[in-house]
Amino acid sequence: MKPLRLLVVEDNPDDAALMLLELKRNGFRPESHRVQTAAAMRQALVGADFDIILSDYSMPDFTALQALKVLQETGRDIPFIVVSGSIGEGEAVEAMRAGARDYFAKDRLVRLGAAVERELAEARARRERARTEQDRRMLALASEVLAEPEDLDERLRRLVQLPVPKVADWCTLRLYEKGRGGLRLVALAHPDAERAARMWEVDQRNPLEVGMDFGPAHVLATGEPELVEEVAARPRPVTDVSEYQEVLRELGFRSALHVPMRGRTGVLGVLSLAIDRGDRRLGPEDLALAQELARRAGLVLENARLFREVQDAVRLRDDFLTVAAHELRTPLTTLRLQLGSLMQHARETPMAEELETRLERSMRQVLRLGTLVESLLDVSRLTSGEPDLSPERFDLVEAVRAVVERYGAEAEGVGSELRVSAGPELWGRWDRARVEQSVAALVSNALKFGPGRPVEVEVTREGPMGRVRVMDRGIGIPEDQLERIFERFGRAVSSRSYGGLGLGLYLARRAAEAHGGRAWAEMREGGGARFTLELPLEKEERA
Amino acid sequence: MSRPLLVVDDDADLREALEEVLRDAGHEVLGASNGKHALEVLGTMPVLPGLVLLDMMMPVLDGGGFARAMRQVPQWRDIPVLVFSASANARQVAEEIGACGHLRKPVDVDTLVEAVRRHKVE
Repeated sequence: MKPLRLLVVEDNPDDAALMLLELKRNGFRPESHRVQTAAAMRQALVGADFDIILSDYSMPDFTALQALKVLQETGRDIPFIVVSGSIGEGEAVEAMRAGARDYFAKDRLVRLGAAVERELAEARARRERARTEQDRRMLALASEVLAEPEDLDERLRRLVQLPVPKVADWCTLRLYEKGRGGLRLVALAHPDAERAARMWEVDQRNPLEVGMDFGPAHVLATGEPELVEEVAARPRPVTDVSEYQEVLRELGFRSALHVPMRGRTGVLGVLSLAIDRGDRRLGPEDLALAQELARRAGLVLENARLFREVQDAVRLRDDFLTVAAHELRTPLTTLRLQLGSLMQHARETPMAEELETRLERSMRQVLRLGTLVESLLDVSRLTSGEPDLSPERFDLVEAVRAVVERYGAEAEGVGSELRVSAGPELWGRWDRARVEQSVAALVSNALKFGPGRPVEVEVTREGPMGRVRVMDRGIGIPEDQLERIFERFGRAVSSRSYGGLGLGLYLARRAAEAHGGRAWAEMREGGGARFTLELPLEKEERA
Repeated sequence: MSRPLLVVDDDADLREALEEVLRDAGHEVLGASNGKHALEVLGTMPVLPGLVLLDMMMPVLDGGGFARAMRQVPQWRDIPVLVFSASANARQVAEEIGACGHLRKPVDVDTLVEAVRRHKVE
């Protein structure tokens, strides 16, 4: 026997009994309620759920057409069938137009059972379609809400509003907080503000302890969803705190479900739905919806967490670099000043030539150490993000000449002739330290890989750009290495034969690009390499 | 009479190296090991310095704190300050505390002497 919740709109008890008999004959076990006025029908529809409505066409105080209106006012989708003693074609058509699903003459009820069966199946299919559509819309909205630019808590507050009241009376979202030893409610939705406030307050005082065998804390621990269709059938505590238990009892949950919100490293929190009134119960389709909502929320939570971690890591790195820079540069400053001052004295007062040479050698090494320290600090800062530029206005030609001059002694040392050819001044706004560092890297490379052979430096204007070219007759660069040498720690030769950190070209290119310019390398006809650095000139200079 | 220089740096070796180099360049130089010490030294100077060469990262009272405190005292308000810092944003720091310029550590003798000559009030 199939249970059937039946609402009969009929003034004649005998006629109602006939309908029931016919339904029982067709294998139904009807549980019926009879009304014969609009008021009684309204009350019945508010109080309970019905699978089907059978209505007389015309009663002393009510008609089927009025009954259809009452049903439509409630917004419920319950199949409505007219069963009348004397129904004409016109009246039947009118009833169908008004929303009746079928009609029968009271003396011809043979088909009633089959019609009810069909209507139930169709109503179920309609409900499923509506549910699918509702879930689809809700999930689309959830994605929208979660992508809003508001802060995370606000997005979560808006997310939990979505399933209430269509899917459930309550929707709550709890996050696990290590520091507080439990799951803390961060967002909650319920149509009744007073009930919502009671839940919120008791939870803020007593976060759900991890280690319970049921409820959100259990879901957090296992990562498995929990569906309790009938709370009354399984009244198990979700908390040990008696104050909390008391509030939950008073709120009177009838049906509940909890699903985990997963992140990369485990369960981050729990999303719950609950019903606290009416006959409605949560079922597998509600569980599926909740899981999908939780999955989306989990992704957003995970991203927020990663973002925080990255920010923390960047802050930590920047703090470290600031201290490291200070610690490394201070002794270098002392050394440079001491050696510089000693060299001045050496020039002014007669001193063994040998001593002067040693001082110069020491100074070169200090300068080299300084360059290495700067490269290392730069590369750690540049690993993420753009370099910070402190632009100032200067003449590129003059800056290149100054750098080349600094390498005069080194060029002499390796037996290379170092020449600069340049046109008139080329002004622009650049970070002087970085530009000099870049040019120095090119010159130093040329001397390193082409000792004993001439190195030419050219400064020219190419349209809107100032161009520095450093050309050597050294070992050259294989075609397939031309790009690789600009990578961090990239080198075309073994680090055993040629030292260096492999950072100079990387930093030069990054600096050029940060200025809106570029840096590249080419093979030279007749052997050797040509390195080019281009930097945008200031506007008046381009004209 | 030429005004003296005040060199403020917590690193004793560096401070002494600075003092020597600047003395060699013909300046009278006083040193202080942090911002608080520098304020004390300022208070005892019969002739105010023509320039303060100021490190930023120092214990007790840092460069920023010193500059703010110095500007509170009317007769010290206009003493030029040259920021001498290892920080990559020395230039920005200099602007923030109203310094007349900045030098990035490390620095060579000539650049130091030239910067001091340019900014010092006689």
